[in-house]
Amino acid sequence: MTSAAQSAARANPILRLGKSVQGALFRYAGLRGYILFSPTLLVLVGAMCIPVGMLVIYSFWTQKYIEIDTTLTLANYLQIFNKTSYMLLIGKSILISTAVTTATVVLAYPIAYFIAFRVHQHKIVWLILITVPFWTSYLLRVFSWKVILGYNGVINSALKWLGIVDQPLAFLLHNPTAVIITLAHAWAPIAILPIFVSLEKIDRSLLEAATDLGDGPVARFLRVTLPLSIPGVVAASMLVFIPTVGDYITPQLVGGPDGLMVGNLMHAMFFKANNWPLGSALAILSAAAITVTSLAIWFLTKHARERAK
Amino acid sequence: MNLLANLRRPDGLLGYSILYLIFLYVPVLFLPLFSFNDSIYITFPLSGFTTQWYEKMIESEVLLNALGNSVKVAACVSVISTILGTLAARAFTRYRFAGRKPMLGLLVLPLVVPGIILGIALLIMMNWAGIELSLVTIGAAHVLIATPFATFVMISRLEGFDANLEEASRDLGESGWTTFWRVTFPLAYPGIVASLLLTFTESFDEFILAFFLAGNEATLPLYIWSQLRFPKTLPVVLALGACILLASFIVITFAEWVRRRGVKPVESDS
Amino acid sequence: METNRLIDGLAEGTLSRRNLLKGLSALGIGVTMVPYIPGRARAAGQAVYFTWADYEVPELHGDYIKKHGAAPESSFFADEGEGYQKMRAGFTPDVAHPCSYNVKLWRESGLLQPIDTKRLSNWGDVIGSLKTIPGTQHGGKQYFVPFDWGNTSILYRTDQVDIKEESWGLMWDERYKGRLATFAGANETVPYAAVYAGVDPWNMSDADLAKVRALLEKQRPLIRFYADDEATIEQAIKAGEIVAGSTWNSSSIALKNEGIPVKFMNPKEGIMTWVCGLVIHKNAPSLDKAYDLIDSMLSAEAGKFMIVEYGYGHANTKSFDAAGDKAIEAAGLSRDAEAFLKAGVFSNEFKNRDEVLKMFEEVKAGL
Repeated sequence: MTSAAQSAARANPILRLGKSVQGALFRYAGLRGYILFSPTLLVLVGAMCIPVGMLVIYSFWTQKYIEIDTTLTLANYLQIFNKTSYMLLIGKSILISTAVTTATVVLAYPIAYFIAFRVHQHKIVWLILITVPFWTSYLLRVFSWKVILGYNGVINSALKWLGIVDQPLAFLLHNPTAVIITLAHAWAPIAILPIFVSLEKIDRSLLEAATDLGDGPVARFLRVTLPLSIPGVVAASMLVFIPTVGDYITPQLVGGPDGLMVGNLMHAMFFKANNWPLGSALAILSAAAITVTSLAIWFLTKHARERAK
Repeated sequence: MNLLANLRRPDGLLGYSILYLIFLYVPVLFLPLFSFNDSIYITFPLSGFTTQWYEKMIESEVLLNALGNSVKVAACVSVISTILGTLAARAFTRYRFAGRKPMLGLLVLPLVVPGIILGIALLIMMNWAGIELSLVTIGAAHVLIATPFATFVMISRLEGFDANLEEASRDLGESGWTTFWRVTFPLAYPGIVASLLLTFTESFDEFILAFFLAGNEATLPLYIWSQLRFPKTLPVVLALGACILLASFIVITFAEWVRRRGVKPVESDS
Repeated sequence: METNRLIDGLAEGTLSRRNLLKGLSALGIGVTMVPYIPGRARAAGQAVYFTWADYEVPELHGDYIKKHGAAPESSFFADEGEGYQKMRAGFTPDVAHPCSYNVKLWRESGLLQPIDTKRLSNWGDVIGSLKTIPGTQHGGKQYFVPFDWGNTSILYRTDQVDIKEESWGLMWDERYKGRLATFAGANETVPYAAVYAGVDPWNMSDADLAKVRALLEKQRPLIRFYADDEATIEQAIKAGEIVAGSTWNSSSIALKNEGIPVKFMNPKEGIMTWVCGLVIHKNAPSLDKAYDLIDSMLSAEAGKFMIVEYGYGHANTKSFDAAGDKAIEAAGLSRDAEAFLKAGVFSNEFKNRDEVLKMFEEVKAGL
C-alpha cells in the first residue's frame, strides 16, 4: 500500500472503515474462514436442512390412506424396533457397503500410487482413461454386469466352452456378491481420484530422506507414503461407503431377493406402499447407522495415523 | 511405448494397472459389441451384424435432446460445485475457526441422506417455493450432492499446504486475490482438475435426483431408464453408450493434442 | 516445477490484477449463461403424456400428430405407484395412464378431473362394459377412458417345464427352485397368490392376508428375482435362466417372434385380467390437447397397432376389425372383451390396500 493511499484512507471515513474491515480480515483468520465457507454453507443449509427437517417430522407422523395423520407418535419407530428383521436389513446393507468400500479402496490404491509415482508425463491421460468408462450410463454398466455374470453370460459361455461345466453357474448373478462386484466397479473412479490427489502432493524429498536413512522400498512405503496418503484413503472410503448404503438400483437389477438392501425397502415404502412416514423413519435409522459406521472408520484411521507418526 | 517410456522400472505395478484398466473397461466394451448385434435381447451367442440401432438412434430426437441436456447440466454443475468445494476446502485447511468440525459434518449431509429421500424432499420444497421443474432444478440438486465430493477432493489436496508461500506473496505486496490466483490456485490445480472430472461424471450419470426433479425435459439417465424397460429399444441405448465412449476418447485425444501443441506458447505467456 | 514457475512469475509480476479480474468475470458470465443456452427448440405447448414406456410411439398418436404437427411430450413412470407419488408432489401432466383399480385413489387424492366424453369422437365405439368399471366413475361422471386390456399370467418354457395341468402352482413348484421370477409390484403378484390360496384377493380378511403372506414367504426362496418390468423377465426366459415368470401378453408375442418355445398359461384357478386407460390431470395445462390425445389413442388405427404389435386388447370395437381375426387369435385375445375379462379374475382395488402393499414389501425384503 502506498503512503498516498494510506493518507487518503485517513481522510475519508468510509475508506477508513473499509481499511479497518480489511484489517480485521487479516487479523482474524477465523473470520476469513467463515467468509470463504459461507457460500457453500448457504447452499447446504438452504437446500439440505429444510428437506432433512421435513424428513424428521415425517417420521413421527402416520399414513392414513391418502391423508397424513400429523399427530406426533413413535409408532413408526416402534414398528421397526419390534421387528428385529428391519434392523437386520439395515445391518446387512451396512455390511454389503463395507465390503464394497474395502474392495474398491484396496483395488484402487495401487493404481492411484502407480499414476502418482511412476507416471511422469501422462498423468492426465491415465486419469482420463480411468474416468471415461464412467461417462456411459450407470444403468448400462449394471446391465453389462448382468451380461458378464448372467446365465448365458460371458463367464458361463467361457466355462462351458472350456468344458469345465455342463450347466451354467447360476450363483454368479442375483445375489449379494453380484451387488458387491457391480458397485465396486461403479464407484472405482470415485475412490481412485482422492487417493491419487493425496499421493500426488507428498513431498518427494521426504521419500528421498527415508531412502537416505536406509529404508527399503517397503519400509519407506509403510513409514512415509501410506501414512501421508491416509486423508485420501479416508475421503475415498467415505465417498464410496455413504452413498452405496442407500442405493436401490443395483440391488434391484442384480441382487435377487437376497441382495435387496434397505434402500429398496425405503423406495418401496415411498413409491409402492405409499407409506412415507414409515419410509422416513427407516431413512433416519439408516442415516444414523451410516453416521456411526463412518465415524468409526474416521476415528480408526485417525488413530492408525497418529500411531504411525 | 511412449506412455511407458518414462517408467524407471516396469514391474508388477504396471501389470496390475493394466489389469485394472481391463477390469474397468470390459463391462463397458460390451456396449459397442451388442450395439451391432442383430437381436433385441442382450445375451450370448450373438446373432448377426447390424447397424440398424445406430440409424434408429440418429433418428431419435428425444434421445439427442436428452444427451444435450445432460451435457449442459453436468458442465454447469461441475464448475459451480468445484468453486464451492474449493472455497470450503480452503476455509477448512487454512483457517482454524470455531465450528469447523460441525460444519464438516454438515457438508457430508447430502451424502448421508439417501438419494431417493433427498429427491422427494427437494421436490416438495421446489413445489412449495413455486419453482417450476426444469433442468435448472436438476442442476441445483446435483450441485448439492457434487459439492461434498468437490470439497473432499480439494481438502485432501490442500491439507498440509505450505502457508509460507502465500505469506511470501503477501510480503511482496500482492493482494489477497492475486495471491489466491497466483499461488493458491496453481497449487490447487491438480485437485481442481480431479474435482471437475469427478463432479461432471457424478452429474452426468446421476439418476435418482434427476428422476424427481425433472420437468418435461429429460436427462440421459432418465431417458435410458425409460428405455431399459422395453427390450425393443434397449439396443438403441447401447448404441448411444458406444457413441459416448467413442466421443470421450476423441475429445480427450484432441485435448491432449492441443495441450502438447500449446505447451510452448502457454509457458512463454505466463 | 510448478512452484518454481510460480515463484518466477511472482518475481516478474507478469500476471496483472486486471488480467485476473478479466478472467474471473469471463468465467462468471460463462457459468451464469450456460443454463440459458437454448436447447433444441422444443415442440411448443404439446400435451404432456405421463405413461409407461413404449406408449409414446407415434403409431398410437396418429390423429394427434396430424392435427398438431408434433407428437405429445411423453414422460415415463416405472410403475403407477411412482407416477402417483410424483404427481402428488407437484408434477402436472395433461394425460396419465393408470389401470382401473388405481383411479379411485388418484381421484380421491385430488389428481383427476371428470372427462367430458362428448368431446371424444371415438367414445361411441368404445366397448360398453369397459365404460362402467367400478371405481372409474363418480357422481355420475366419467374419470377414466379405457384404452388397453389384457392378462397377467405365467409365461413358461414349454421345452423346460413339465406340468400336467396349467396352474398358478408352478410358481411354488420346488422342482424349479431358483428358476422362477415374478413382478415386484403388489398389484401383479399378490392377487395370483390369493387366487392360488383360494381367497378373494380384493376382500381379504386378516386371516386371509396371513395365509397369502405365508404363501408369498414360501415363494421367496424359489424366486430368482423380483422384476420391475417385463423386459427383465423376457431376457431371463430367453437366456434359459428362468423357466417361468409372471408377465403380460406382450412378452409372449415378443418371445415367440424370437423363436423361443413359450406358452402364456391359462391357469385352472383363473387367469388375471386388467384394464388400463387414460385420465386427465385436475390442473391439466393444455386441456384441449389432452382430449385430442385421448381421442387419437382411442382410434381404430392405434387399436390395431396395440393388438398386432403388443398383443393387448384395445377399447375400440373397430380396432378388432382393423386387426383381423388372425392377429386377434395370435395374441390370444377375443372380440368379446366382457367375456374375456370375466373369464379370468378381474383386477380390482384391494380393500385393505395399505396393509396388503406393506405386507408384500416386507416379504420381498425378507422381513
